This record gives sequence, C-alpha cells and structure tokens, in this order.
Amino acid sequence: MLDNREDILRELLTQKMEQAELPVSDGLWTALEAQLPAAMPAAAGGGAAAKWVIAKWVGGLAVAAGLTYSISQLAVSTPEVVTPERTKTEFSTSPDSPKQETQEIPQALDAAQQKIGSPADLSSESPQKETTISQLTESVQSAEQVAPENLKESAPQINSSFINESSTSSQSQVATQSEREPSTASFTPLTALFSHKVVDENQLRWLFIPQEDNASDYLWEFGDGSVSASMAGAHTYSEEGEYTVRLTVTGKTGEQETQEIQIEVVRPASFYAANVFTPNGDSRNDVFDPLINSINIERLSRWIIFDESGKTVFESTSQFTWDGQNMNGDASPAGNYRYVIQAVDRRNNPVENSGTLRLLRK
Amino acid sequence: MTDHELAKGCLEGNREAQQALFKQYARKMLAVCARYTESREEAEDVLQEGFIKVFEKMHQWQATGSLGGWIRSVMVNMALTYIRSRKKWKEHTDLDAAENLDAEDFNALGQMSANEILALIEKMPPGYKAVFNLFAIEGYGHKEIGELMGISENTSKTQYLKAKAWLKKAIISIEKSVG
Repeated sequence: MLDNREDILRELLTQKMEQAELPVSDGLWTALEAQLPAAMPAAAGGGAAAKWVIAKWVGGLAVAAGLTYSISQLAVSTPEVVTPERTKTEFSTSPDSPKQETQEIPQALDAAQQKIGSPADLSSESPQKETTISQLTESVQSAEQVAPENLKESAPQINSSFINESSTSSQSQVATQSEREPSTASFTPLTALFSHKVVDENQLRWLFIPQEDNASDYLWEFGDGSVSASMAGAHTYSEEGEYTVRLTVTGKTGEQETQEIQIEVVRPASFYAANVFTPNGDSRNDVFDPLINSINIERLSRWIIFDESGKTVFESTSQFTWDGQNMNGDASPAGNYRYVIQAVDRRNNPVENSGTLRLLRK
Repeated sequence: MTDHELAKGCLEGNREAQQALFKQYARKMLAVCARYTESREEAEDVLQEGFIKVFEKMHQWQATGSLGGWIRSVMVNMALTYIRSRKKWKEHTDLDAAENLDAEDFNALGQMSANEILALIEKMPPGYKAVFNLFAIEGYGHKEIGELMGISENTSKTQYLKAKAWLKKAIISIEKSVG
C-alpha cells in the first residue's frame, strides 16, 4: 500500500497526530459554558421536550428535511442525469417582478419553521403543520406561475453528465455562478443546490460543491451513512453503488434548504489481462482470459487474435477465452499475438481494447 | 459514558453531559486546532467556537460514524473558517525549491513523539500550514483543498511542497541540536 514517500509521510503523520493531545487552559470550560444556551431544566424535559429529543435523535434531520422537501419541490433524478428541477429564485426589484408575492414566502417559511422547531408542536399532532406546508407550497407555486420567465432566467445549469466528468474537469458551472457579483436584489434565498465532481474514479472519491457560499451551516449526507459538516463535501465511497447525496444548508436565521441527487459510483471500465499464457493442460494459465481482471465490463461482444504476420488466428463473438487453438482446431505455435476486443461496459457504452499476448509452449 | 450516552445528554441540553464531552475530547481537539492556528491562544479560541458548534449541531452526528471523528471535522472546519476570515493562507514566496523528505527524515519523524511532531507543525508558517495539515493529515487531495480554501489546485501543491521543505529543514535542525 505505502508505495511512495507521500503515502509514508501521510500515514506516519496521521497516526502520530491521532495520539496528540494538548493541555487545555483551566478557565476554558467556564468561558465556553457562558456562551452556551441555558441548560434545559430537567423537569420540563419530562414530557414534550423528551419526545422532541427522541424524534430528533431517531429521525436525524428527517423532521427539518421533511419541511424543506415539500417547499423546495425536490427533484430526484435518474442516476444517469442530474437535473434538479427547482430553479434558483433570485428576485429582482424590477417593477414587473412578483416582489410582493415572493417576499411573503420567507416570512411564512420562518413562521412555519418556528412551528416545526418548537418542541410542543412536534410532540403533538401535526395536521396544523401540514396545512402550513401545503399553503406554503401553494404560495411558492403561485409565485412561480406569476413569473416563470424571471425565475428560469437565473436557473443554474447543473452539469449533468457525471459519467464523462474526469478529475481534470474544470470548475463546474454552478461553482462559477456563485462567484459572480452579489445581486442587488432585496434578498437572495438560501439554496441547497450543489454540483459534484469525480475526484478519483478508481478510488471512488467524490467532491460535492454547494452553490450557496453564505450559509451558516452545511450538512452533507453521502448516502452510505457518512456525513460531513464541511462547506464542500468530500467523500470516498468504500463500495460502488447508487447513492443519494443530500445537502442541508442552514441560513443565518435558522432557515433550512435541502437538495438531494442520486449518483452512481462506479469504477471506470478497464481491461487487465495477464498477457502470458501456457496452454499445456496443467490448469495454470491454460487459457488467455481478457475478462479475468477487468473492471466494469458487462460483456465482450467480439474479439480477434492476430499472429505477428497480421493473419487472423482466432475470432469469436461468443467464446471469450482462448486456448491457443486456431479456427481449425490446430495448436498455434509459441510466439507473440495481438488481440482486439470489442466490449460493452456496465453502462452499455462500447469500449475497445487491444494488446499483445505471448503464448508459451513448454 | 459512551459516545452515545454523551451525545444523547448533549442533545437534551444536559450541562453535565456537555462538560463530560468537553473533558473527553478537549485535549485531543486542541491538538487538532493548534495545527491550524498561529498560537495556542488562537487554538483555544477555535476550540471554544468549535465546541459551541458541536453542541449546537449535535443532532447532525450520525451514530454510524465515530463521535470523535465528527467532532474533529467540525473543528477542522472551524479552523478553516478562522483562517479564511484572516486571509492567512496568502502565498508565501520566500522559500527555496522544494526538497523531498528521505528515509532519514522519516526515521527521525518516526522516533519523535506525537507532541514533538505537533510542536513542529505548530511552528510551521501560516502560509502553508493549513494546506499541509489538510493534505498530509486530514487526507484531502489538492483539488479539494483548493476548493476548501479558495486557492488553485496548483497553489495547494506548491504550498505543500514548501511545507515539506520547511519540515525537512526543521527536522535537520532538531537532529543537530539533539545529536
């Protein structure tokens, strides 16, 4: 594993730093405690508060997220294409914009979140909350109906083809958008939209970048149980698979937005074949098998083996190992051969590979 | 108390649980913060802010990951926010070409105690300290560090090289003073 100096240094320092501790000044806890919200009285915790805590504990963010889902009309796309439907609503102050309608939304949203955030409300029945949400959703929709053009103009173009995104891909459009001049509008709503990059396809390392750069908190849920509170979410998956990645951003006044996308984490298709084989019946390396160490190849469709003079020795669309016999069933002589393989990767894309192999006879 | 009990107590706003959590993790986390700041005082500031954030955001910890790991990521994030607010990552251009660490340096590092290495990293110039920590210890790639710190991938790489050159010099000077 530790095949270069960089890895050794990193491993060494990481291990050492795991053990590092520093003495903390005596008064630090007292200073810290003074800044904490007043402790919740134990008596009040008996009923409503206790339920609230349990709900939060068990559900994680489900409570808060449930609200934002319905408001933000969350779009979960197919694994192949990531296109959140929700547009970034950047309200302008131009006379024809629906300023009045839209400004009511955050107020209503605040009110709704105060309701949701209040322990008593959570522990009691929720119909009232649902009413508030549906009203809110309606008002969001009506606002969007009033000004579809305004809204769509500022809609960010989410980069959709993550398959072809390589680690060298340039800054995504979303990230670029967030760098532009701050809008002169009366307010910019919090957005949980984010872009994603494959940092290292082979290591299954992904990076998620929020469009929002002004939230007070970011919470990334990577879909495999891991979370991060960093502004940019970086994650290495331990297994290939489809994951739902969710970002919840919290604004300065406690408002939250959530977005999620589905990603398919796969290693790139690659061929690797031991290119020396010895068809002598000892069941070791008796056939040339181009699939044996290949990754993410769905199936081979056709392959051809040539000898050094360029003559076709073997060709098949069904048999994908070669035992050294030519099309007539005769043993081919020892020597170098060249193969060309056409295959289909897991996403049904054609891939082609060619290489040389050496046939040994003992 | 287990991590779960601690976290549950903190979620309930229980002051004893908060203090117990602080006691359990403060020393380790101060060592994390100190790798990013220029002084112990600053490190304690970050630590304080970090713990306030930890208590505030306790519900975001998912029991599938280690509590220590989560707290640490909050601390690193807080340290980066702190550095960003002070623009301390501005490029240092005052160093010679990078030198690579060799086996001798690794030996020397391996023989040092955790706190000796920590003291060394604490002294590292602020220009590349954060990049060094993020890359060598937190395990981020240069591309991500660029995103996290608002610098280019290349700047992250060069700052890391400078950090290593600085580290090598520091190791050599320690060896001289000892041996």
